[in-house]
Amino acid sequence: MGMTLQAFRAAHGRLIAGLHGAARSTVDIDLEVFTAALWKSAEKSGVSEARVPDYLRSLRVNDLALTAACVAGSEAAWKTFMDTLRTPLRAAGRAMAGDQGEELADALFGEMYAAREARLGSYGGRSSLAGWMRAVLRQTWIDRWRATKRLQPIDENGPEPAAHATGDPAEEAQTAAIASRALDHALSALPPRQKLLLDFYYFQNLNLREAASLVGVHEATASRELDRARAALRESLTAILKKDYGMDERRAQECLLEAVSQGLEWRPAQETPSPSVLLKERL
Amino acid sequence: MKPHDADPMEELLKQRARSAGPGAAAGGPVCGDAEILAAYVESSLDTENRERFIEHLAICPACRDDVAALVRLAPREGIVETRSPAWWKRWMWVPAFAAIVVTGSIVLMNREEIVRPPTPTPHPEPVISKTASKTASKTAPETALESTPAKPERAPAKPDAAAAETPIVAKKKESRAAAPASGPFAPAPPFSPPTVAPPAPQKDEELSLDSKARKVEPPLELQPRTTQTADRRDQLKAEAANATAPAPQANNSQNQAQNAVVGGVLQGSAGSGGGGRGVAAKPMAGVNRAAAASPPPAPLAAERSLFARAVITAEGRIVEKDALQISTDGGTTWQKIATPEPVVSVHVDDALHFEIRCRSTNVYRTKDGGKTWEKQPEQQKPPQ
Repeated sequence: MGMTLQAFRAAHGRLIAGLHGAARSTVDIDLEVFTAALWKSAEKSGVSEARVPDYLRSLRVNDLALTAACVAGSEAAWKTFMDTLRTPLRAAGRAMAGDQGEELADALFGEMYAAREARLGSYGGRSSLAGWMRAVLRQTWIDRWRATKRLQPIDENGPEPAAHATGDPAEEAQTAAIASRALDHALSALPPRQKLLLDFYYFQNLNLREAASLVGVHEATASRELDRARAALRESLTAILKKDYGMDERRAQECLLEAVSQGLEWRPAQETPSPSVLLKERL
Repeated sequence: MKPHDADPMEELLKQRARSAGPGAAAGGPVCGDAEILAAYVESSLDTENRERFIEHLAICPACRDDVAALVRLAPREGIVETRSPAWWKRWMWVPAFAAIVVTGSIVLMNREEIVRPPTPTPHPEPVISKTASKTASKTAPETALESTPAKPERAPAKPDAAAAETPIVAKKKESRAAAPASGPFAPAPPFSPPTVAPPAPQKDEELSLDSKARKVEPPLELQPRTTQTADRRDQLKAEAANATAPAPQANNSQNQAQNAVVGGVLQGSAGSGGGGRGVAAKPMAGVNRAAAASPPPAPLAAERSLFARAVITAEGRIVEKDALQISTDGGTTWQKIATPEPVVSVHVDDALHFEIRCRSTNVYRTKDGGKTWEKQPEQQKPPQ
């Protein structure tokens, strides 16, 4: 956006005043503090100046005002924050990691209170405050799990997935191994939306409605998209097997059937972050 | 040589990493942003940012994993909103469905009853009556006349020369008998079972010389037991007296028995329409509600097929002591009922209560289908 706070206030003062009036139903917040929170959110989003009014109207101004008041040091706002979010966040923590998740939720509130500016100040109102807290809790839990297990995060510049045709086909004794490599290559070639759908539906075990909602399409559209993705995968797999492994059409189909019967040695999903590691390797 | 002199991209990436924090080098500023992740799950992102984040998700397994985890952690608000406020409202369709099923079943059953052809019920009486009517009309019209319960006070006709066996059949004429036996969902009248149909007028004419009078006289089967007052008993006594009178023209030498099958209507006094002959002391029995003797009270449908009969001579004598017989299945099978004395008439009140009138004018009554009999006190004779 590239606009100073004064310019921002001058350009959108009327809209800000209206939003401030709506936000005061939740928490008593000073107009200057509220304006600064709106400006910070717009700056962080990188929205163009022409679209700032629409962006401001799309914000959760009540939640943003609550966090801004907490950052400003309002104890009443913090009490409201705790009363509103403590129970649902503890429930989310329990669903995520049992008793440890509840303890983690309590610890997260402590951290936020101690570093309100750094933690609560990063909330910009683009999502609900409860959803943002769940995302923060999830990431905090992953960081803690990694520290506990002494697992290093996946190096983004780490080893690439094994090339599908680097090995000697004669040495690929296992048909399933051949199919697995070809599948990796075919998955990486899928369009982003189809890859997301496959990942949410097959790898993350979300139902079709949830997967479709995440991709932003209707459930029926997602179903058709999944059909197209599977057809594209099969065609791509066959082409890879024929081109890189010298199989004919009949042998390629047999290879796929054998791979299905033998399995691709997929490691089952765990409640640890390891699934993302596995998916990153495969996709 | 400084690094950026050799490869400016290296310095550029470092600066980008410092400004954007961890993960920015691979996934850009949106990677791992809790607010964007939450907004994406809540579909709060605008179209431009959403498409941009989808492209990022396609190459970032960690963010996909976070998105899926947030979907699982999010409360199912949509589902909760769509649920009914009360649990029983989810089952409101059950009574409606049950009502539809019941109604459909009733309609189908009703249609089946109508379409189904009438089942012939074994009923030997009509055959017997046909034969008897012919015999009676040709040889013993008096017998036929006496068999009609409508005119008990009528004097018997001339003694019939033909003392052959003359089975006399009087069909039950209950008002319910005219109704079909299929319950409330009755078939059309043409499908009424023959066992419950009233006697054909032709047969009545054959059986009775006074058919016109019978037609005029209303049926009395609907009269309750309590309405059969002393008049009936008086008539029964008169009938008994007539029965004991000698039959001048009877072929007593042959001593042939005459089947007198009694059932149905029989107004209580009608059975006493005795004539001068023994046959006149018709073994008519008033059967307001025919019933079986020994078996337990039959259901309604079975009662419609219940008959009583006795075998008497042309003089009105009982052929044998246990001549009284009861049928509860429309005449297919008959069960003998032991009586203390020869019977000249029987009146069946219900399934277990019988009342018989004997040659000696004694009246016995049973309350257990004929197992035990209780002699009734003799009543005053009607004034002459």
